[in-house]
Amino acid sequence: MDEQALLQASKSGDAGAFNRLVEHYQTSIYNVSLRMVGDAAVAEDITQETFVSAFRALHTFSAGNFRAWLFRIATNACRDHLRSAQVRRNTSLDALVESSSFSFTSEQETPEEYAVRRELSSFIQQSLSTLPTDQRMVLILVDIQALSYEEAARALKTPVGTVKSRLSRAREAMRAALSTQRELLPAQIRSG
Amino acid sequence: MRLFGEGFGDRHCSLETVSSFLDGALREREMQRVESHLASCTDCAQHIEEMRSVVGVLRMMPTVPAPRSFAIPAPARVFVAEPARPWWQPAPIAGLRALTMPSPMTSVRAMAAAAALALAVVFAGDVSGIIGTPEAPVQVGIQDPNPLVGPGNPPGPEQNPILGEPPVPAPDAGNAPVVDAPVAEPTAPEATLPVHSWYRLELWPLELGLLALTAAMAAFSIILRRRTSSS
Repeated sequence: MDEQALLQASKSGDAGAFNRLVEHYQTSIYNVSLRMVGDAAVAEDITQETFVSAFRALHTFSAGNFRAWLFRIATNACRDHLRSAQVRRNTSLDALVESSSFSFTSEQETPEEYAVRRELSSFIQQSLSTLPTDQRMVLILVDIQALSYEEAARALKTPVGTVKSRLSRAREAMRAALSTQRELLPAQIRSG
Repeated sequence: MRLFGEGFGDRHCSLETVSSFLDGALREREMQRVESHLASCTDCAQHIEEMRSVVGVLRMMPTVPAPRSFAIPAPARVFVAEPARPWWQPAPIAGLRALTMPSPMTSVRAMAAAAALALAVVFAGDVSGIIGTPEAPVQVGIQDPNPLVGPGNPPGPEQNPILGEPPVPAPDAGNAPVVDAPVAEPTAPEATLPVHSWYRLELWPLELGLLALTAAMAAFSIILRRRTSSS
């Protein structure tokens, strides 16, 4: 995929070219939204809103990291949603955890391993939702979506030093939470 | 960034140091200092291992497939970036696009309409006297020196009808026979004609010019339309 060529075509109004970019990035954007808001339906809405907003504002994107630019739009939309829906924060977390797609995937696992995996998945998502929004965003972008510090800084429009600081605090919070549930950790991690 | 301290005592790695160490984001010299510290500090070594486990778990979090395509529908109106324009040039108004880039036919018709409108305005102003040089009203007829005097309305003796002063008695007013003052002939009331009439147009050269321009533009428009329809 020649991203630059697709971007140029998209800027000229070629929706087909832009949709090829959408296909490439939609899973990442959806996952970030899902981890951020913890609600599959809301994450869908935010993902769609992100791409529509991106297409409309494409002429303002001059150069640089398109993925980081998309993540910025998505995280802003998540932030707006979380700000406006504080009271509904945990409404659909259970439904999200129950979703079979929101679990570790592994072949040839026993029913017991499957149950533990789901429980860990649930616990991680719950722990994520207790983090402050800024720390959660950094943790999701860097540790789950594997963005570099610089990309995360661009996506969140913050200095790299701030990203490092937030990330360390978020990781420490997750360490403190998971230290109480070590039996849920996969064997290779527990032993490592 | 402080390598040590920040809640764990000055002899232990800071949170940010541990996190950056795991990501390999420290400088070479900092990495060496942390590694040498870990060799002698079991607390920090354990802390780093626990943190490494957390990062490992998070990175093992599966990617949830997108539940559907988020492709945007083909827009009815294509969003195209506006061409660069100088800062002093205002943005075009979408509804006025036809006016900003008129065709020759539209231009000729607009000029004919403008000329006709200007002709109407000038003519109306000329006739009504709003436009043009004002003149003193032209009076027709003789000024009646004593309009109040008439057969049924003789002048009173106590006031001079012209000067408005009491009449000066003659030296022999008491003995002089009463002679009736000559009664002025009744005259027609004062008649004033308006200065500007349709037959007294002062701006006739301008009006004639505008009339000619309107006719020319209308004729040109007709010719253009015939040529367009024939081609």
